[in-house]
Amino acid sequence: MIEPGRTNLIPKTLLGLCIALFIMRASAVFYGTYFQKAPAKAITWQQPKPIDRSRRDLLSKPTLYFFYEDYSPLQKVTAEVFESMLFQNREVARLVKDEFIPVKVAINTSNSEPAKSLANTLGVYQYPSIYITLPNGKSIHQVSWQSDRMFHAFLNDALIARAPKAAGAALENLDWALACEAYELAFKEHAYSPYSGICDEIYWSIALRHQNNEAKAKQVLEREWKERRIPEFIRGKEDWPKPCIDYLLGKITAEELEKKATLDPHSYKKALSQYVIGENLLLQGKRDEAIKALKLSAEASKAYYMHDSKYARAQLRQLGEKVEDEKEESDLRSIY
Amino acid sequence: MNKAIFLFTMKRYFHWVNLAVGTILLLFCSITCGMLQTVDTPLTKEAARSFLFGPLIPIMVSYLVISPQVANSQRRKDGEYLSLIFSRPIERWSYVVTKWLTGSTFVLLVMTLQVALSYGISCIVGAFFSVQPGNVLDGYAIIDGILNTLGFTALVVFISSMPQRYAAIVVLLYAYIIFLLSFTVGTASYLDSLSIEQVSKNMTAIAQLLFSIFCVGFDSYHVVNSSNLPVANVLIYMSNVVLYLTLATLVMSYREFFYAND
Repeated sequence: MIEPGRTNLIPKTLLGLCIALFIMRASAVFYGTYFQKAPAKAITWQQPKPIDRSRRDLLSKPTLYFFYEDYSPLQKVTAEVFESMLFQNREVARLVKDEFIPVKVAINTSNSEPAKSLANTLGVYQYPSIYITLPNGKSIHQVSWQSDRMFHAFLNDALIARAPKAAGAALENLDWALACEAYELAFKEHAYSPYSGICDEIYWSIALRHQNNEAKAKQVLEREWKERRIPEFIRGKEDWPKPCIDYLLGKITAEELEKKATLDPHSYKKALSQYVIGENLLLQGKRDEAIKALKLSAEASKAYYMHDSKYARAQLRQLGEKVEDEKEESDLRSIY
Repeated sequence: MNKAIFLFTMKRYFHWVNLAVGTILLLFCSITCGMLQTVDTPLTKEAARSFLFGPLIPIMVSYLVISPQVANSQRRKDGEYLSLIFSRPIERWSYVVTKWLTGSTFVLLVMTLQVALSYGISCIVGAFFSVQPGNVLDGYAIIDGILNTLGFTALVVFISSMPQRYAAIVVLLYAYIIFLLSFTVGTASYLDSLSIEQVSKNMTAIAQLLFSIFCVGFDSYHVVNSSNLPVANVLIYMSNVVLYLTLATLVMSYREFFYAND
């Protein structure tokens, strides 16, 4: 039986453990601050260079930009903490060294180029932050404060998104060989990732046909047709873009495809269907009719996210038609 | 640990009001995590893992069920209930430790249920879309889940051991400090990241020592893979748990519980 007067005593073991742990914790903190040598920088950062938009090796290592402000001591400290928190993790450091080109960009009053133009081009709006881009500067991902585990996932995510992004950029440059290579890689690395769009198989098949690989183009479309993973009750009656696939496989005519693209308040069906018709006609050697369809697609939308219209404009430029240039900003805003 | 208090408290946690509120939260969280698990990217899987095994569930559940100031399902006043308990010669530390262990057991039960439900939902959604649900359960997740539960439950036991007006001030202060830390530093992983030469070392050490008192969570992935000294993180975590329990016992020992006060 415990005496009533003793019930409110704190046990000596608990008190002793509390004090001992607090002393040990203080010792560890002070040892870490005063005596422990700062670990060697896990990553060798490269100096910033201006973005080279003409680069075509889009499947080589992506660039990882670390932007930070360097105006005041507080900003320097913040950047140090950010860098130490994310890049002192051994797994993160290994992944960055193996798969990315790390570039550190300090933004301060004295330096101007290329740091400022890099920040402007990529639309950097918070510091410190990390931007991952293709070798030609096209943004893949951006992130700021995160735990190192989440950052590791973010880097892996960027690697998955890299191939579909490179394929899209290749289509804008009409680099069919690179587009085929990028789509092949995207499918091999991570088939049906959320970064592979619903129309990617259509673009891939068009690129393959431009490379005179009709058999594979048909195989890609049929595989898409068989392996579509969206249940029927979600796809609905229209099941867009199935009519485009049917058209490319020769199951329906261009007129039938146009009819199926009527309910289209934002013009995205028109942009895709006319692009598909245009490319198909071009591959059949019907140049004038192809230009007419491609123009309809190009004019369907000027929005930065309407890829079909952008691809159509690129094709029209190639065919010698007068089309307004793409705004660089429009490419880069896609990250938001 | 006092077995009678353990059983009584556990019975109280399973009150229908707690169960009703908990089921709604549980379903909401499970659907969110289950959907995240079916999206096949590393980021969504990591988000689901943080949601399931991070500090969110321990702090929500423990605060909901432990703190009599916030959710006393039986409509009893704090003092009245404790007066009855302490009419028996029960040691205050025993009461605190029992509350902590009961709360932790309950939170772990909820967490297990949550994980099972999330996997169930992700399997159903995955079957519709022919997607293999992502696995978020690994060694790090289990360690984080258990340690976050023990840490945050200890903090809530400490907060709920105080009289209501003080508890409210401590909660607000804690929320403010965590907000400040989140706003300036982002996550608790900053703890071993402060070896900065530009600022005074004294300031750094004292700030680290003080602020770390508010960092209850544990990130095993960060600790295992850090190039810095991981022992500091482990010591800070252990010290915090024991500190909260000791402070809770101290507060309970100085409080007087009589029917006459109610």
